[in-house]
Amino acid sequence: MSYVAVQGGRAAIERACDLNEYRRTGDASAPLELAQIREQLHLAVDRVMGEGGLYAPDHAALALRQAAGETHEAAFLLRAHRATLPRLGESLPATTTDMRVIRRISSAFKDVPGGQLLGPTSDYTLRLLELEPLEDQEHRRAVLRERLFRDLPAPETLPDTFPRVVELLRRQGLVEEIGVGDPAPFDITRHAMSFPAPRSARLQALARGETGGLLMMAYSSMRGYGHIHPTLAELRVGYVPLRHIHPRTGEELVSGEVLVTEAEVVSRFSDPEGRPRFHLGYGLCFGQNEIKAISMGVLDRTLRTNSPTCPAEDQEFVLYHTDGIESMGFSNHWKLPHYVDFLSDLDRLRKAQETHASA
Amino acid sequence: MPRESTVEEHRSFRLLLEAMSRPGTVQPLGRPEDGHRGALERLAASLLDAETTLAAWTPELEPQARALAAAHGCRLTAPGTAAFVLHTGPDLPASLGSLNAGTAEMPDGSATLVWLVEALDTEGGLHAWSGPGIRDVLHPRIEGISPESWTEIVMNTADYPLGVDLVFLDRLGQVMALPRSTRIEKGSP
Amino acid sequence: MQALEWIARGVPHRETYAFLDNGAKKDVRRALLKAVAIPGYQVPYGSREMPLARGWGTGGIQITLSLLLPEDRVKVIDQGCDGSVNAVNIKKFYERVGGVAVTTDVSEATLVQTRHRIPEERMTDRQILVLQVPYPEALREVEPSEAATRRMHAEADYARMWLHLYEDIVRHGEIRISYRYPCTVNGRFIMDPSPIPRWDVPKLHMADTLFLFGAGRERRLYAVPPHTRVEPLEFDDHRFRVEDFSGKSCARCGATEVYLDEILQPDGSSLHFCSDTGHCDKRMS
Repeated sequence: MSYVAVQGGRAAIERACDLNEYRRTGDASAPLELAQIREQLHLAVDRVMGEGGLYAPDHAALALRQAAGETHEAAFLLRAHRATLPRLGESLPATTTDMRVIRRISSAFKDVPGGQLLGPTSDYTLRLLELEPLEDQEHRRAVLRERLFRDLPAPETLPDTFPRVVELLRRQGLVEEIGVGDPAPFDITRHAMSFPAPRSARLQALARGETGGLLMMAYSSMRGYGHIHPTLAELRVGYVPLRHIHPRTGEELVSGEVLVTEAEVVSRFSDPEGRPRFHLGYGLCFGQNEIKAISMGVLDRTLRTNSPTCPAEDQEFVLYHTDGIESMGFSNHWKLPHYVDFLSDLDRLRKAQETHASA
Repeated sequence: MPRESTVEEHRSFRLLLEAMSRPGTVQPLGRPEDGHRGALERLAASLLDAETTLAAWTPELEPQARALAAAHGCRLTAPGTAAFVLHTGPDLPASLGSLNAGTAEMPDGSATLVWLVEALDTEGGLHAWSGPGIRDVLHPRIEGISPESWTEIVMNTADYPLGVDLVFLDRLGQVMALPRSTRIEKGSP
Repeated sequence: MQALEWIARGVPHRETYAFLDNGAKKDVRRALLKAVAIPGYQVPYGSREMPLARGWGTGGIQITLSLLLPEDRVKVIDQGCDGSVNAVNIKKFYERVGGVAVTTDVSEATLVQTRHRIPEERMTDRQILVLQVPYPEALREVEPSEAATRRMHAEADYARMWLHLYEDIVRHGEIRISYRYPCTVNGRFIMDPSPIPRWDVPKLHMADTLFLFGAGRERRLYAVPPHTRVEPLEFDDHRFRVEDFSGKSCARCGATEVYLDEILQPDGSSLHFCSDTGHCDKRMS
């Protein structure tokens, strides 16, 4: 067997990239437009923005197209792009009290001040795969819109804000108070985390976490590896304005708004000291990604302890293993050549076999 | 930011890295005609930004520290907490132990003391340096450090892996480093 | 590869030399200076995402990008081979963002970046070797928690690693650790030399070259300066041994005394070839 030339390797790699591109661009179907992905696969776009840690719907749509729909790859593209962007400043702390709500529900009470606004959700759909022919899509859309906007009741004035369910509970002394002090948030994109990690670092890591990974950890807690017994006090989806201070004039400006999902999870009381109260777990992520926000809320609560009794309570275990870019990169790296290391292992095995044989 | 200036920052850092990995050697960081200021500015351009902190240990360096903070965005703090501390003159204002020496779990958190001295040479000094980065033994000469300061410097290396790392800049813009890992003993060759 | 092309096509603000923004570089540089001052100790740093995936050398790449110069001649190897997937990608990236020349001849290189091998030719004091590290923590073998291993290093409490090696000997007659062999650096920190084979570990001890180790995903950097003691853990009656190639030689250039790749043949026999392809090429020319 002859030795493989260096030049041959490079050509093979370039061909592999060509083949990947060939598959990605499809066969006879029309090339995907970004607007189609952004609008009609908007939940995938939201997921990728959250995991990439960059609010940029067009870029996320581009990433999904370039990654042929593989969300880890798309989130990676987005995060790598983010790493090339200069950081111009920070917004002022935002509050979801200013949220332009499109969905708002509470499972803790049958009704809440402001009402249960179901909004756009698949929660109540029947999961029947619709096998209708695709050519009717334009027509279907037109018919749906006509039906939705026909016979609308006269517009009511919507309330400016929706009082937080948690705030109402707090006023009755049923939920723990907001912590004292307001330290500057830790930035995990600038500094390596060490443990135990401050809450801001934990929440930031969870906000960028891979949805499936977070779901798995939260689910383990819900099922019984842990005992927080969560209730969803409130889930909100809507647009939050981002404000910042102009660097020269000093005036406060709104630079835009971001779509976020916020979940406030209340857990059964367990505080050994002082007056018993419910504890709060908080989740917030880009776009409409309710599974992730709820999982974040659960994990925010489970990660509060310094003596973990199960994986979902272990900060290192959860936060080190739920970053999609890191876990995907490392899992993929096993496909890189490892023959030098494998040979070293072979050497050890052969020696051990010799020792065993002579014993 | 133009490409040329960032290439210069790369050059400066290569020299600083060389200096720290080979303690007791002398590297030409700044131009001789620019003296201390030139070397200090090159050091700052390659290392300082808004994520780190700076202090002047001697009052006469305060204007320089403020200028560097303005240019690179680093925060000015007290010498006891700063990551980079500037000093000039043969005597130390206080013990080296009053600077951040790091902790057992994070020895890398310690300060780097940037000391503006008179002259640097790889030989002719009164102490024997050995340890990581040094083949056998060196006797570097640093003109502009008092004997009392040397006592402090030697004591600083006794706490390895804790300790402050020293970077010397001389009037010709040269740089020499003395990391905490270096063993210093009295005795000329 | 797709990500690389995307970057080349579309990134609008690339005015800084060598891709990384200045903030990222300075973070790496400050960490490197501390790493060199504390040989073998893992310095935490911010670690940015690169166009290559985590696990594929982002740590090594960030180090190289923070110290690259246009006049550098860069060699990149993976498993000792200049033509490997990983090495080729990284070289293309450096040519594009650094304007550097690349080489396969280690004696011509000023900067060598490597995954899992150290070149056979002894490197000089005019060169830097940057190693890509998947697992920076040697003690991870005996302790999964980072908080716990940090404490062990702080207290120089390495008993559990020694016990682990001892148990191997008792149970199997051999220390089973093959690559990532733990070493004591400068008489103080136990260090993971990265997945280089045992064969390459002695090259780190009292060398002329500066060795820099980058773990991007794990966000740690460490260093072994030249002329520094790097001592593999061993017992008086069970010494450190490198891989055994006695009786074997490279089927292409005839070299012995080098690390050899084993290629299985259809008839069940094995042929051997130099893992260090640059070295093999030189011997052939």
